[in-house]
Amino acid sequence: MNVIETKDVSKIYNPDTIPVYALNKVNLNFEKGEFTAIVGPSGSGKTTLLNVIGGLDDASNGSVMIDGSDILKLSGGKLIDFRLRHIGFVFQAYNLIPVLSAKENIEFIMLLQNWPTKKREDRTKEMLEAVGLKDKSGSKPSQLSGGQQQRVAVARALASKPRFVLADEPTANLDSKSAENLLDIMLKLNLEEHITFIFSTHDPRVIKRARRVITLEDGKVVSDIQQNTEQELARQ
Amino acid sequence: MIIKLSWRNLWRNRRRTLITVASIVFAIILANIMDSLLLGLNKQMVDSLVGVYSGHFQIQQEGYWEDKSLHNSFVPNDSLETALEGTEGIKGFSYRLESVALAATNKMTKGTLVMGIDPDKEKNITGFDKKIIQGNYLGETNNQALVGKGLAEKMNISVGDSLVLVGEGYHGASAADKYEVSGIIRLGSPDLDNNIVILKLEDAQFLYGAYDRVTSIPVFLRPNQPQEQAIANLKPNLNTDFIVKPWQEMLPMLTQSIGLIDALRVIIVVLLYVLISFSILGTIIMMAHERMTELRILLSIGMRKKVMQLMVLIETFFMALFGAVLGFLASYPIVNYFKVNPIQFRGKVADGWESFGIDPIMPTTVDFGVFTKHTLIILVISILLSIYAIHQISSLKPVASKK
Repeated sequence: MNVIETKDVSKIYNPDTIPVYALNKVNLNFEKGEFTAIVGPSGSGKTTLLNVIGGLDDASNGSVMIDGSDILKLSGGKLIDFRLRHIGFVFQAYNLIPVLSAKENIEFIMLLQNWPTKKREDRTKEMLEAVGLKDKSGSKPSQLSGGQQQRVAVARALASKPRFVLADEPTANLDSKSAENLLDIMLKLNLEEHITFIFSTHDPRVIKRARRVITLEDGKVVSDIQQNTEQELARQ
Repeated sequence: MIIKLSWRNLWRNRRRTLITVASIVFAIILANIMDSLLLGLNKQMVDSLVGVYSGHFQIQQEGYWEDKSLHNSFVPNDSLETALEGTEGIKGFSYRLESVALAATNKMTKGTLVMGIDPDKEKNITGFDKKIIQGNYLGETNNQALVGKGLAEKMNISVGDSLVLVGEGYHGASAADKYEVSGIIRLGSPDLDNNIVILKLEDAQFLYGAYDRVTSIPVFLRPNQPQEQAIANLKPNLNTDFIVKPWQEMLPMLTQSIGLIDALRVIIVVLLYVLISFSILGTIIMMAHERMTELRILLSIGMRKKVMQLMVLIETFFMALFGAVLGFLASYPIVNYFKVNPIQFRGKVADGWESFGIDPIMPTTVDFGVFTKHTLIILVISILLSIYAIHQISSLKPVASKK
């Protein structure tokens, strides 16, 4: 079952002068539970594609259907609500709220979604355990390492059980041990909770462990390869 | 959670928040001191002039103010006295008969204002006896006179001298009598001191042939008693022949002076508010700009702009409230100190004040209404200034995911 369908999505800068195609008629389908890497050289359109799918940026043409709704046609409060209810974001620079503790950061989106207190607290506890930060629940982001912060960011993105998670170069700022650790966690949550992961990356370790690898060049999809089965991923 | 976020955001840059809070505290203290001093000055002027001479209002016969003639005098009756005694807030009242006469010594004649008073009543209400600078206050003996300081100097009159008053009495009767100067009085008002001769009420009534008649009843109120309320309470019980004349109409110069001080008060306080507004605005601008990326992230992950705007509003409100409450609390001991130990003027400044009949001191008025007013104004200003940050948030775009 498709979670996301992009149809002829283009993003063109300077359309009236010298057009630059950040995305050029991208047609992709993403199924529930995918663990997909979007790769390509710098400037190939990876981040733009994630931004458009996540409703953070407009497309010049095409449509992005999520659960039968074209999110490119949503605006204002509806688009914000859509992001809140359906999408989890993991940013390269973690982007946690500095004045909140790890626990409070994880809770934050559930709070915005008005989860009941008990359910919210249980889920936060579960996520802290899942990302191995149970003993750091009261720490502020400034008291955590980069790897720990990114684990909190992943927990925050997944806590409210979104339809899918978009991660833009999630391991880019991490050392190799932290990156491996984060990947393990993301993979585990993907398999256990069947949440779709789509991430852009340059990191060969991430690419190796993805089930599907989509390569972009000059805004176009140049390859779309299935490389690992769920069982293989689980074994890894 | 929003309140928790706002509170913690406030303390992200502790030093900046404390500096802004301190500037709010000082602005409120300054505004309170300034307001309390100038209100105190107004009160001092009113107490000095109104409390000593005119009364807070007077009961007069209809038409007397326009034509201050004995023909517009009246005989106070029991019902009038009962009405005055039954009105809440009235400290006391007196009876006066005022007219003009020529005052003559063996060397000089001069036009004067003659005022007949009830010595005992005035002693209790206006403290005329404390204004005597030479000789004695009016006693039991008839045909005694108090002469204004300026008039005594001009006519070279001393205590014990004889003074003859000649004039026109009630209904055109001739008025003439001789008095012994028992004392020299200084009321403070140059106009009065240069012209006044004070007699016992019965002597003045005898002089003018206006037996039992008075021209006005000055009424004095208890401290902090609203004048309008006392007048409103009294009016329904008054005969329609009488009018109530408030001091604001009888002493236009004083009213204007108070208006001038009020205008000055407003200008100074507005200047203070403008200064403090820039300080708060500076903090709001810095807070908004340094957190723009963070706010964009919040927008990206699903926080509605209205909630963010509320968060920023609460932050500003917290900061202003903190400063305003501290300013309120700190103002009281300072303002109260200047009430107990008023600023005292000396030398020529003091002489100048005294020449207008005002005591040369500047006490503050401790009025929690004033404190509350400034506290609320600062809160409202802060909320209005946070519109800047609210506007910034309304045009916010989500963060690009790569950042």
